[in-house]
Amino acid sequence: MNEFTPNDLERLARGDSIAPETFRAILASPEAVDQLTKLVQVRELFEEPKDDIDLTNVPAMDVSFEELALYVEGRLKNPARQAAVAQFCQEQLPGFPPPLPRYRRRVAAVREAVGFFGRAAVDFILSGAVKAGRWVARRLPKRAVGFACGMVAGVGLTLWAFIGAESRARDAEAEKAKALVAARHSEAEKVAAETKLDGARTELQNLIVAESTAPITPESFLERSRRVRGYRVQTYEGQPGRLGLSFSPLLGPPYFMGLQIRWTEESEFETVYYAERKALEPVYTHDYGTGDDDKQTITLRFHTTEESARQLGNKQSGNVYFIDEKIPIILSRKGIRIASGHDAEQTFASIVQPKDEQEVREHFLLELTLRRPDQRRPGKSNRVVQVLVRALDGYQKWQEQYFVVPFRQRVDDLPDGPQHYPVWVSLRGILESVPAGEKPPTRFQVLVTELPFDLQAWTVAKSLLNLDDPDIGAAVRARCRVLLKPDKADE
Amino acid sequence: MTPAELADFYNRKKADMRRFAARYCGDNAADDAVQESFVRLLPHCDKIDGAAPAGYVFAALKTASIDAVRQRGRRRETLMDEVPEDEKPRRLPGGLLRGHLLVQACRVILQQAVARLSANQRGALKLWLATEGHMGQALTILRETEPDATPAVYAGRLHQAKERLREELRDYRELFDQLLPATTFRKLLNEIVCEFPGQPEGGGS
Repeated sequence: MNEFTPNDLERLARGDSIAPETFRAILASPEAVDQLTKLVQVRELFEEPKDDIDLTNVPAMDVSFEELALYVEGRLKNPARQAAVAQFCQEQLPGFPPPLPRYRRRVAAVREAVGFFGRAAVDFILSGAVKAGRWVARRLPKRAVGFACGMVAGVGLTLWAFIGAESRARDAEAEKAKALVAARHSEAEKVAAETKLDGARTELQNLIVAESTAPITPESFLERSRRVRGYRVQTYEGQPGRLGLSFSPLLGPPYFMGLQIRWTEESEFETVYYAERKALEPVYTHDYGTGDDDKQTITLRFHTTEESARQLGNKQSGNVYFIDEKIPIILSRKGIRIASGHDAEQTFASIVQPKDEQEVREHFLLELTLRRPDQRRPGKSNRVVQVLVRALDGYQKWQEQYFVVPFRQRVDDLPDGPQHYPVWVSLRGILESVPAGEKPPTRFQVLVTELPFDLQAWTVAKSLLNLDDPDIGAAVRARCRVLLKPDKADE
Repeated sequence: MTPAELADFYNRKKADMRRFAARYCGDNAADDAVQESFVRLLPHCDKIDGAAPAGYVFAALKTASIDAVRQRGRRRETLMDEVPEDEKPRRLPGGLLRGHLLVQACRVILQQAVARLSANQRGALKLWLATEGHMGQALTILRETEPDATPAVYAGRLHQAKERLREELRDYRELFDQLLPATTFRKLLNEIVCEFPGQPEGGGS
């Protein structure tokens, strides 16, 4: 599931900042980038063009962004590249980067010096300091030396504590003053915004009167009623089992009288809106909890008005007029997503045991739950559910090939409901083939796949079947990582 | 270069770009500068050379970083314990009924603003929305009806249309921001522009 909401896209398009992780999630989704391209057009309409990017005079980049970053942080070592980046910065950003702070320059200088004179200089300084200390100690009584050291340490600690407390108090005062100024400023801004909004509202009321006199045609009525039935599904970051539904603020007479939601197939309809009796909330939420790719269907029942039913030609039994809309969703461990046609054609698989990152022995029991796809493809299919294991560390060869567990279940032979399958997995075949001198693997990945062919060999190279590839990886129905429990002497 | 390719480039270079921007405009504004550069570059991505996009991205990042430095003096930033209002679901001002009327009114305002554009300007706006700002595609469509149309003609009409619309909607900016998400606004504008007859009447530049 994506880690961003439509609101994040809106904010980014408006030029507001969003969390770096959310930005990364948007970049990773081509649909989101396309949507953002459209939304940026709205921003262009509202905003005066800024100092726009000069795309006619684009610099030739003979330096990489990595080099630029290292250079400005003072960490680019190669002198030739240093000179190239310095020249680029001089041409493109005169006066940038600013000189490093004094302490950073000193640290850099010390590093340089250590590089050349290194240990000899440090040894010389240290031995000189030790000799001088001994000379002083020989000429003064021991108690005096102890007393002097104690005094120096005491005075130092007192000064340190005093300066620290003073600085903290000053910081706290500054913060308080800043907060006070900010609060006053925001209050004034709020009042100004409210005044402006009131003015706009009055103006709009006049415009509404003008619009209400325009005739409504059957086509425009139908179009508006269709638009009013629109809804938006949203999920919440950090709450994977929560789903939100928001509706058009136009939902109500003259199109619809009420709205009922049935969150699951087993539950009853819940009336969430009824004209003039129960107001429409901006968002309705429901907590589903997480599941193992479980399917659910949300049903929205829009109760039409007499007028709307007449226009729509939708008359149900008796005097009840309604339109049902169904939203199929999938509840997974990561969160909720809308079910697509593709989901109905896939086998559902989940690993019950072992759990992710659980420790296992050399032989362990893998407990699977498999469920047949809801929509069978026409004709007989060759699709087979198979279990593969790959090492994640240790001997390189086992990281680059999959071990095929002797378990095969044809998709066509799966029963209707969910079915439990215990599978014994032995890692001995992997561990015993690790040559002496090579590090045996300790972490493994278990993959439940649905492939259109039967893997006959007991291993398959990653170069032939790379399940990390997004296209081929779509065949993976469930996966988990396990850690090999170290052997004990009694076993 | 397509938007997806640009996004992929940003995905790969984002960490380095952020570090570079951090030295320029400070650690707090670095993320904003990178995001802002991406958003600004997005409408122009068809002009970017896919073989060497770094120069274009650098130009955008430079401008965004300079803007961030300039704005730092003007912008007030306060840390909040609660989630900002924007993150919460929008609640329409003035109750449901008034919200309902206001959304209808937004449509009327937009209709009036679009009606004040000339037919050619509306045509350019329609193409701009339909092609998502892609100049090449817009020109291809425009040349079906006007074989002599040049990029300058299209760009000029579009510029005038945007200026005029911006002028007409200036006072309602805040209201639109509160009432309509950008997605809805764009959809509404697209519908309204398409409602007008497509035949140019002359009078636009």
